[in-house]
Amino acid sequence: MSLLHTLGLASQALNTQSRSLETIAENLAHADDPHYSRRRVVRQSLPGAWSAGGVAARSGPVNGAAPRVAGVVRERDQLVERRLRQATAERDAAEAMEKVWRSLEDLLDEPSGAGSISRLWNDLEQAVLEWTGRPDDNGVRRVVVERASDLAAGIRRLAQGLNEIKQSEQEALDRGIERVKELLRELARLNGSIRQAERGFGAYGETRYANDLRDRRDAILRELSAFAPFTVREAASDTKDEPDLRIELNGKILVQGDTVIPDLDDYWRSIDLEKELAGQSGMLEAHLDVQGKLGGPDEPGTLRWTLEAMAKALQEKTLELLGVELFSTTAGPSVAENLTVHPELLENPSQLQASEDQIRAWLLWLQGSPGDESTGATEPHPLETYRNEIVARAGEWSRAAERARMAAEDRVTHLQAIRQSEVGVSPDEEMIALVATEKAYAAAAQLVRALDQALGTVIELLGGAGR
Amino acid sequence: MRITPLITRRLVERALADHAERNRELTARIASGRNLLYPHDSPERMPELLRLDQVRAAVDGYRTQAAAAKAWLDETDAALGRAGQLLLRVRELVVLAASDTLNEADRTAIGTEIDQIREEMQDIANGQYNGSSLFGDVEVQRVIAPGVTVVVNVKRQDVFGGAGATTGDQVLPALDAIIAHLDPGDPATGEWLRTEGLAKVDAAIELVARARAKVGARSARVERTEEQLQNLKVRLESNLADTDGFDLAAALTELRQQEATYEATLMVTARLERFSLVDWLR
Repeated sequence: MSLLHTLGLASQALNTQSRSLETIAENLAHADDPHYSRRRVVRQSLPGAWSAGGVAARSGPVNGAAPRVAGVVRERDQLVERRLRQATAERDAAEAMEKVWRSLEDLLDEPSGAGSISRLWNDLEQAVLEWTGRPDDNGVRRVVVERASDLAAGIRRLAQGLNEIKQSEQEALDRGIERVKELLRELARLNGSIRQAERGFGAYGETRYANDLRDRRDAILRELSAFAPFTVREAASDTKDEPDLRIELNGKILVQGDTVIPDLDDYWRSIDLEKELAGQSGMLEAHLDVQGKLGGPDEPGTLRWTLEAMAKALQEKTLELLGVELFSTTAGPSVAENLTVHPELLENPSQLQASEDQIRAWLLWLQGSPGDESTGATEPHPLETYRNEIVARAGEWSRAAERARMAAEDRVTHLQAIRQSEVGVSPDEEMIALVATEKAYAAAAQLVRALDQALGTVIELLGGAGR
Repeated sequence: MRITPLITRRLVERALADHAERNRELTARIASGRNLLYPHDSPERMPELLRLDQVRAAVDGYRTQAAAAKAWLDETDAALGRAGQLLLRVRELVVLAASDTLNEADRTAIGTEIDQIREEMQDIANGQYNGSSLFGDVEVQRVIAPGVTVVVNVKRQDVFGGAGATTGDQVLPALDAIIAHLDPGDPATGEWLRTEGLAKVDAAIELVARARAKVGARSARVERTEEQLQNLKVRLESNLADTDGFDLAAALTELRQQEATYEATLMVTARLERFSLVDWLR
């Protein structure tokens, strides 16, 4: 053991400690960043490994081991990451759904809001009831026509609202797919960058880890997984194999290392999304599911179809029972979207002529009174259908989405806590480490000074001998 | 478990958000006095709630109709009552005029009074109610319950006479006949008044009385229906309240508890991270 070797040991210690201080500073700077995983200095003590800094080890085998920085790594748990990704996907999907169903409920304005179909329907009923008493009163006729017009407008508004929601869901789906493609490409690029950055060794021979890029990649994986249940295949631990991270969807490899499959656009166009995503959680599936439930005027069982049937029944039954074409459709194949009161009647309500019997029959039908022959035993009443099929189902979906969101949110909170517990920065811990490192650093510096003095003494002695 | 400030912060955020949400919900419920504000509050009870709401609206409508029918019938009854009074006076006058001892001047005076009464009767017959003729030419019906209609007016020709009258005994023709026969100089007047005159007045009185009886019977029926509707409304309100299930006392208690936990959460949050090692390392 030579003095020079000891000096080398001290300088190596200073080096390592300054890396520790740097890491502490980095951790503290990111203490409030939820996407940051705390860094840890991995030390290694190898005999004779102090040779960095140009001082060559010439004195053969040595006993003193120099503390060396083997690398700065991140804390990370693959299993927690994966479970968090799943839970986040469930939460985001449920949240997207809840938002849609809430806006549908807003549109319905039930129970009995001012703009709701049930309220408008009741208002028409009241006017018709008054009309039964005064069939020739033009004032009452005008009220009947106006209320019928309001109801038609309400049905139109609802039909258009359903279409709009469906449209915006399709747009959200398209945007989602575009974003997924972007993210997949970004991931491939990041994989490449990570591989590039981690190539070779650092200035002191340590292993290089592109920790910031890896953090970024984890954040992207979380965002990506929220859209669809992608499978992320990574190496067993946070090692250098991991740059070759693989992304699959239902077994199909989309990203392998820094390569994205060449026909990514074609792939998304070619697959049957509904089949591919059926029963899996994710925002893309949520957007598809909502669209399927809203449906179209010619898709039986869907909300839009139910509304269409309701509008048709109102139009046809009114004509049949009242003998007047009160409701008409101006243009287009859809009744619900175009339902209005006949323009001539709106212009001149005195043309609304019907016998007392007809008015009464219409009133009874409007009231949907049970046991009345005019409603027919097997024919579903449009108002009942509206209540049961549209209001109750919208409510049920909204409720289910809310429950799912709350459950997923609990899981996400829990998993985030577990993840944070492992990767989060605790300022107190860092402060303790700071104090300890500071002291060690000061001690090492002191050692350098002592060695300097010792060397000075030796040099002086040598000088004296030569005189 | 290793706890970092981010964990605590997120938990607190979540707890506060939950509290805020729950508070908003409770406040909305208490402010509206209803539990079921949106379909998602109880999808299974929604159809029933809306149906009850519709029935309640219909019942309210029928009650309005019944009240209108009642008012119309009362008005008709009052008018017929006045007509009956006037006819009794006419009968008295006819009996008086029928006496052969009366001189011409007396009969003229009686004639003038009957003339006045006829005019008054004409006014009653032309009476208006709510913008339409009280005694119209056509039947006026009101629907006072599902499938239940009631005629609320008395046709003019049935009591007072006029176009479409079936017999000549209606009030106005009878009065016209009496006035026509009340010729002070005619010696046959007394005899006619005693026989046909009185018979006509009695027939008219009978007609008015029968009309009043009919109006009274209908009025009673409308009243019974009104009562039924009222009972139905009370039952519906109670059904609606049951379906909705809102309980103000429970809601207020819950709000109070909610506020207490909210306050506690805020207090704990304020104390959180008050101290850190950083404070002591100077």
